[in-house]
Amino acid sequence: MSEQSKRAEPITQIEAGGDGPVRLSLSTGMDADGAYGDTALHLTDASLVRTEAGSISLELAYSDLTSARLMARTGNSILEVETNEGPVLVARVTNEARQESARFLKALKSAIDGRLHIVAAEEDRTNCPTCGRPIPAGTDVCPICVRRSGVLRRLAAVTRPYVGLVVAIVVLFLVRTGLQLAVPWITGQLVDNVLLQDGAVGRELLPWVAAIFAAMISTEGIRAFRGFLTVKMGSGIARSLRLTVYSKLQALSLGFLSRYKTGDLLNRVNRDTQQLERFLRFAAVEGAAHVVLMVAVAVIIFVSNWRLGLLLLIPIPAVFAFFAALRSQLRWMYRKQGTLWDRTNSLLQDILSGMRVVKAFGREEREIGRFRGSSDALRDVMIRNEKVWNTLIPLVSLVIGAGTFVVYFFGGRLILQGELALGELVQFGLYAGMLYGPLAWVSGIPRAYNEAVVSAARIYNVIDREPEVRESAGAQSVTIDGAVEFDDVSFGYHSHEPVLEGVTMRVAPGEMIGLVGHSGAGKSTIINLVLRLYDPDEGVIKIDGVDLREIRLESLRSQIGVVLQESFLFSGSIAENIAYAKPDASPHEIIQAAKVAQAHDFITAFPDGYDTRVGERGQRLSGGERQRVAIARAVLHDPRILILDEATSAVDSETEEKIQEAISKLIANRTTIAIAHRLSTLRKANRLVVLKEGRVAEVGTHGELMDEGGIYAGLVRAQREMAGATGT
Amino acid sequence: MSESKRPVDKGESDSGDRTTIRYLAPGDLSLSRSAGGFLQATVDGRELPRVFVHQAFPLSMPNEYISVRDDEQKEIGIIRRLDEMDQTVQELIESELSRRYFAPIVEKVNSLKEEFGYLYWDVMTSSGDRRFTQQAKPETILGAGDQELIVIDIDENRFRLPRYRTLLGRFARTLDPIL
Ligand SMILES: Nc1ncnc2c1ncn2[C@@H]1O[C@H](COP(=O)(O)OP(=O)(O)O)[C@@H](O)[C@H]1O
Ligand SMILES: [Mg+2]
Repeated sequence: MSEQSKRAEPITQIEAGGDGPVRLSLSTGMDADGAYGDTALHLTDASLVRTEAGSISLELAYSDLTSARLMARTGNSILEVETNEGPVLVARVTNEARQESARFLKALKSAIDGRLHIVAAEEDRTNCPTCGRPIPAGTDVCPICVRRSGVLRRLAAVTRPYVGLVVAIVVLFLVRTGLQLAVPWITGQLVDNVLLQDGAVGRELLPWVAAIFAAMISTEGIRAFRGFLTVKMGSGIARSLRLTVYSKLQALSLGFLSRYKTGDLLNRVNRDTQQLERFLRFAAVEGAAHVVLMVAVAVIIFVSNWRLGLLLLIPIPAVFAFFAALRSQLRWMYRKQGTLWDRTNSLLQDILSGMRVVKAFGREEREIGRFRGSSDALRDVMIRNEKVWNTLIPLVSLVIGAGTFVVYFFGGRLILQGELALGELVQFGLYAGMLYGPLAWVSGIPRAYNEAVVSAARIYNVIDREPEVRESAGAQSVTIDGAVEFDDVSFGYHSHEPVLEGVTMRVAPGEMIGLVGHSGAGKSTIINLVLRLYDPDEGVIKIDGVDLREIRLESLRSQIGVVLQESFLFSGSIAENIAYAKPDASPHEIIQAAKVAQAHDFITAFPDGYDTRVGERGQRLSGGERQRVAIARAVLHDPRILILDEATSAVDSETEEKIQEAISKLIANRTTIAIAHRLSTLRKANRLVVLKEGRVAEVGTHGELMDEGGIYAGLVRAQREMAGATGT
Repeated sequence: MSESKRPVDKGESDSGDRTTIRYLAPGDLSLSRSAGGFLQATVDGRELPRVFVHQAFPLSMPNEYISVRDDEQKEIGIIRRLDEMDQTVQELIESELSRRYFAPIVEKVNSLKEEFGYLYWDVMTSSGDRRFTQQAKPETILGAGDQELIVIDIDENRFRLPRYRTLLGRFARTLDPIL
């Protein structure tokens, strides 16, 4: 495995120390002075050992250590331990060793706590197991080592439903190639049988010219029709791929989704499928047509006159190389242009969406200046590219026409020597043109092919992935009563950053729990786990005593309602948004829910009432209004467990009063887990759970915690002071 | 974690005004390295067992406006210009900053290739030889000063390229589309 290369040499015994076998090693990638090198850390049964180039440079017994931590810095992390004599810098770790070092840290901590425990290594997805190169973000596919044949076979399978179309396209294209080949032949016949015949009259020209005309017309007609069929096939295939990828993305857990940037995922769905479609349309079909045409032309020329044929074939590699070079030049030119386009666009988007700020600070001039700078750069590059392009076009025609010159020069000599008929020469001239033209096309195929294979591999990479949060075979539908239980739960979004550690808590049915803690303490993470958007790394979460993993996802989520800080409204009417979880809700139910959420009055005040369009392009609701629509959505959903994550943080206190009222109606009779920044919001909570750095620090009622005088009491005091200072 | 070791000086530290900037003059601050390898300081006669330093402008002014913080990440003061401080303070802070902001300087580019939207580098740096992969996107390049670039690889390692045009030589063309 590639991990072997990343970790330290598997030393089993550290020579000098002699304190038993090494249980776990970590290659840090760098030394404390910042030089890349052979520094490694080892855990034995009794101590933490550092070796540099094989010899021990530090040894600390676990019994002298009190804690250990890994501090992420820019470009590296620092592993330090706390000893009885103060903190000690143990090692610096490069970023690519981050994941391994988190596992090492976990083991080290367990050793300090008294029992060395090593968790299994996660599968290493950062380096290609075959070539060892880093694998690009957003996929597991190594673009270099992807197995091309396998991917192509699967791609061929996708085209199966379009077999009829493919056959039609192939037939049309054979017919068209035949017709194309016929034109020069007819022209040759015209020259030799009419023009050069003594006593031929103009009337005899007619059938030949008509034949040429007919051949050309049908060639173009067939081309148009075939183009239509190819588009139909290509877009059909792209559509089915896109749908498959999209529905797969929906099924995958948030764990997968959050690991990749939205942009990368959009690429997966859109760009890669588009790339494939283009390949199938242009490279696969058109390209194949051109190759067959070329081969046919070459054969005809060879059979008719092998010497001329040879002359025409010799330059082919050079012409091919010329076009390939041209392509890479053009690609380079247009990528630069693309980068500048994107920059200009995003600048414009920035300015437009920040227009209020721009105007408020009177910075229009400066923004215009910035935009002008970017537009000018774009213009310059476009002009330069146009110039290059316009210089290249005649060169391209010249190269394509080169064959014709060869034919006329050498063929002309053959005519003069009486070895060739004039008609044949004309015919060859036309064929020669057909030989080099397609090369411009064909030279693009290798790259298009490669890119298409990589796109396809990336698409299949998503399609083949097993969801991490998976329904077990025996998962059951349950009717939730509302007891929620965390049993020694640990979890991190990335393995090198634990977010929750050993969280244990119990919520009784119908109870309202307030989750309190600084931002980043892990409050929202607890909620993500209750919703089973992620599975815990260690420990169990139970609802009514049943492990979450034994409950069908659909059954679980249909009985949990969520109101988040920033509620997302979909494009559609307010009514549709309220009825999101229950699309068949009656107007009566929708209004009832809006009333409970204190939203009915403002909704009916809109000119379009419940039909008001909201979301992306609709009416803008204020933060408080949006929250109340979201609460109405939760009310209508009528969940057994209600989750409020900073539901009222973004609204003013007056609106909060209203929302509080709405919420107090909502929480009656159901288990509620509420997170609020304003602690006064949680005054209805039965108990409060205080989180600190991912651990439960305090649990109790408001009164108990105030008496305890710990973190919670401190937070309350601080908020009262703030309120006092601002006079509210 | 280090909670138990927190110096109990709440009253004193809260008395300072949080909105004024305190600049540290050369005489205000003395530094030394602890046995464990970290910075310890004496400010105004107060012993601080562990201090942290942060650059306020790591890209545009790496040697100016350096924030000195205590164990609790509370700011003790700002060093306006590092080169105005004592020699030892300068050296200690520089080495501390290089830990905080690790970005080896590229001294020679052996090769740079673009494939499938990724740039494959093979370079010699101030920290040793290195191969790395960068996504060919403008977001993976930061400008620092007129002539310097910082390249961020797919593991978020950083590399500085001073006078990058000269340094890149014939490879400049490969990087150009995303500049
Ligand atoms: N999707 C995510 N991916 C990676 N890290 C995350 C993600 N969501 C939250 N975190 C990190 O987890 C920690 C806890 O976050 P969170 O539970 O949202 O805190 P809280 O809600 O208490 O403010 C934070 O350090 C945060 O940066
Ligand atoms: Mg949160």
